[in-house]
Amino acid sequence: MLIQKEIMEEVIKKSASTGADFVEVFAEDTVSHQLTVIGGQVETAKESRIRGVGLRVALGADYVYGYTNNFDKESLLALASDLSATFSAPLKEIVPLNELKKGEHHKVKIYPKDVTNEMKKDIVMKAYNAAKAYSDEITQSVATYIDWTQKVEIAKMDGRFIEDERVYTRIAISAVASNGKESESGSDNPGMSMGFEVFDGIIDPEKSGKEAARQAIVNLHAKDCPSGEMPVIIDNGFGGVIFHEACGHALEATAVARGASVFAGKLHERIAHDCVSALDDGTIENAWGSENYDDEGNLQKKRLLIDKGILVSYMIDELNSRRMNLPCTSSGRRESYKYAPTSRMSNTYIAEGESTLEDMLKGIKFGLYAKNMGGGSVDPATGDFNFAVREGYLIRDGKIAEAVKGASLVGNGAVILKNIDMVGKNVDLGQGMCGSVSGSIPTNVGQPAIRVSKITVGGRSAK
Amino acid sequence: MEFKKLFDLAKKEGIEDIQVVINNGDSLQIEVFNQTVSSLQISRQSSLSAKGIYQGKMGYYSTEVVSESEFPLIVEKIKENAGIITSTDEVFIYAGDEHYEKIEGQFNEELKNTDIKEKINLTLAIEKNIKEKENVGYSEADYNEENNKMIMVNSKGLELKDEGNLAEAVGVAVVRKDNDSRTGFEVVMTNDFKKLDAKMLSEEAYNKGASLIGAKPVESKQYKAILNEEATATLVRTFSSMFSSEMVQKNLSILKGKVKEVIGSPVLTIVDDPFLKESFSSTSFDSEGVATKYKELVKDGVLTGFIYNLKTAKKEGVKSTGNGFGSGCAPINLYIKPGDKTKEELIQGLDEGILITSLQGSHSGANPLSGDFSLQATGFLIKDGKRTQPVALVTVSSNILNIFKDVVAVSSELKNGYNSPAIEVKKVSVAGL
Repeated sequence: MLIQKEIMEEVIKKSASTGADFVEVFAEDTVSHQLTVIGGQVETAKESRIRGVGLRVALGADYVYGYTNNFDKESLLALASDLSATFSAPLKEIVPLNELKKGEHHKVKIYPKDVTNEMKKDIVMKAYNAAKAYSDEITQSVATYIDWTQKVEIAKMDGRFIEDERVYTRIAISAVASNGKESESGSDNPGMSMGFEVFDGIIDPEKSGKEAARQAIVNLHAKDCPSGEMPVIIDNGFGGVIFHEACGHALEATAVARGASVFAGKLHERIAHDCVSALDDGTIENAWGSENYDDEGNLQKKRLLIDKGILVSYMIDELNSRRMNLPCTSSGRRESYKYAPTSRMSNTYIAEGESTLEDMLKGIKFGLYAKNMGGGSVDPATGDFNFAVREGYLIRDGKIAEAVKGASLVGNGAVILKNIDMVGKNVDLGQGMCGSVSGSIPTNVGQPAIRVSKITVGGRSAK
Repeated sequence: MEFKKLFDLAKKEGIEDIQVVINNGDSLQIEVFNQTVSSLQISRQSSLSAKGIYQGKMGYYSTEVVSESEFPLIVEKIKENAGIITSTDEVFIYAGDEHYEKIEGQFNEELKNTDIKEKINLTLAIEKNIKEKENVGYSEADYNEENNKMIMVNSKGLELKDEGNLAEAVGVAVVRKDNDSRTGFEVVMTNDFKKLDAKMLSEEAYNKGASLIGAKPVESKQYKAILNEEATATLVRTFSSMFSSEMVQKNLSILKGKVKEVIGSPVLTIVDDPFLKESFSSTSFDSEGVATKYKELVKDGVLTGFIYNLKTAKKEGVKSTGNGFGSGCAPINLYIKPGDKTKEELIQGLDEGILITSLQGSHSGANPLSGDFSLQATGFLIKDGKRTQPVALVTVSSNILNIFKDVVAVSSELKNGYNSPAIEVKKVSVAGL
């Protein structure tokens, strides 16, 4: 146990001593490893540990937050005293802490701490070798193994006392293809919320290495993408970044509660074409964005966000639930004890539709097929977004034609949702690290292939 | 902490040399929304990071459990992590330089001692000013402050100390009018609390949002352009790795083999300035303990050299430039050296073109290997030296080396918070309608 129950209770009592109606102690101990292979040699191996306590005290929807990595009782009580000084109100009831409850939904078989550096090295070398062997044009490849184990304890004024452990394992491989004059890159970064057993049939490092190399080669031989407005098919998996950026962030209470989102006040209204349903599901077994409990100590949930085009739910954390007068959806997440939690996504995806890729291609005279997407960003106030196409092809007369590079998709979230006119059947998820006010957290994006009737494509060549 | 104990233990366990950095800091964050303090955050923190040479390889370990009782674990982890390294690159623990520049004013006691109530009042005032303006749909203000003290010691006798603090005030205005919604954002960084001007900050944030109302895509073609300070800073930051000797040696920099060649226009000088005022990055030594120095990496358009750490310098038989950070090389404060005319004078001198006020998506729309970029931009058309139609939802594309060659003029001031001037360039391609 990171902090004794009695000390937790004393800290809560001190924090609530000036009338707060919400107190939460979040203790964390996280160990992470990273091993990087460049040019076939292990260049770095690092281990780091963070360990600290975050204390949140609130009255209504407004809060104060403090954190320290000093675990002794005096330091914690001093922090509680500093934070509670903000409030002055009648005392509220404090419920004694329940028995500690531990999250058990997502199982881990082989913990990273029991895995040697040699075993990790073997995994990254497989990815590296596969990338290098793919083609003579692959000139450089960097492969990294990453894992971290986060143990958290959450204690609340209402008696909740929760322990959760999240184990993440991932490889990240990038490959550079070059013809002497030009260089282009490709990458693949699969990850799961599980231990080293992930390499026993779920993540195949060789496949990842090949995939990174394949993308790099395609891009090296691609011509510059033309720019202008056109129909675009975005394929499955990481293509879901479009929904994550263009819509997901604007459905987080962080933006909605303050009216800073284009979707504020739109509950039960049509915000998308009726072929679009979307979910945020933090319960998918061992998925990258899953956890047993969220970072406010609530059991993770499956949330239907858009039902056949109608907005049915936002993603809401506890304090924003007070501000919005809507139920909390167990969406409170944070990078570490150094951040107060707020509403965040978990595994967010567009649900399966009815169309095939052939259906979608039919009738497109000239357009873009975005097979792989890169990252992007969005202004939540306006919904304006942009993201990079990592692997793209032109569509000519209903057929996938030549590869193009350097394309980006620029548009507006509210508009694009209405312009998604066909949704495919091949739902897949892609892993990312999502950065926002409560830090960088693992999230899955996802979707089947979707067709957008028109969107602005930014490219480097004339149409 | 008695470091000699750690050094002795390390030696006994076969570690040749070991270095430890300890950071002790505290921070304050205030957020105001709707004239109430919606969040207030304080922190007190310490951390230790260690690296050591074992059998000729470097091993790393860092922890937030800062205590002498961790010494055996630190030694064990360094050995374990060094043991897997197969790279034959030489590694170093540095004994130190004779002279380290003293940077005045990096730590301002007065900032730390200013009462928290004053800091809250400032944040409230910024938000109030924004909120009271016309058509403001959302307003927010933030105050962030960090105080940090660090020590670096190693078994070769190096002992360095550094301390610094900085406050950042931020205003955010979302302006809604005519069915359009635009975000304005302004930031000021300083460790002199008196310099944080609520009125100026809120005006700037509001004007940035309000002036963009009605922004729309423009015709796709090549434009003469002025990139304001923020946009210029984004570009320079996005492509900064091309100046790293590590990237050059790994064949990942487009500047490889171009030293002493002309890579930019004669008005382009790019500096890495470790002593810049009001920058949290400024430091007199790098993470290897090497003294930092002011460098003109590009002088009057000619590439003069790269930034080095101990490892990359050794490979080329040159000296480290004091840019060893993490396990690689990084610039400290990289910026284009200011020119003669103000930004407004540059705008007034432009007959027809585009003013770019922000570039988004640099983490995905830019390729550091080729220098190509295609970034989402907002800004204004310029006609006869005046801002006209606001522009949004367009992408600006070029190659960073083309931008360098096409720089016509650099504005005369480094803007606070962005540490960059504005630049005028002959052409960029804009994709819109």
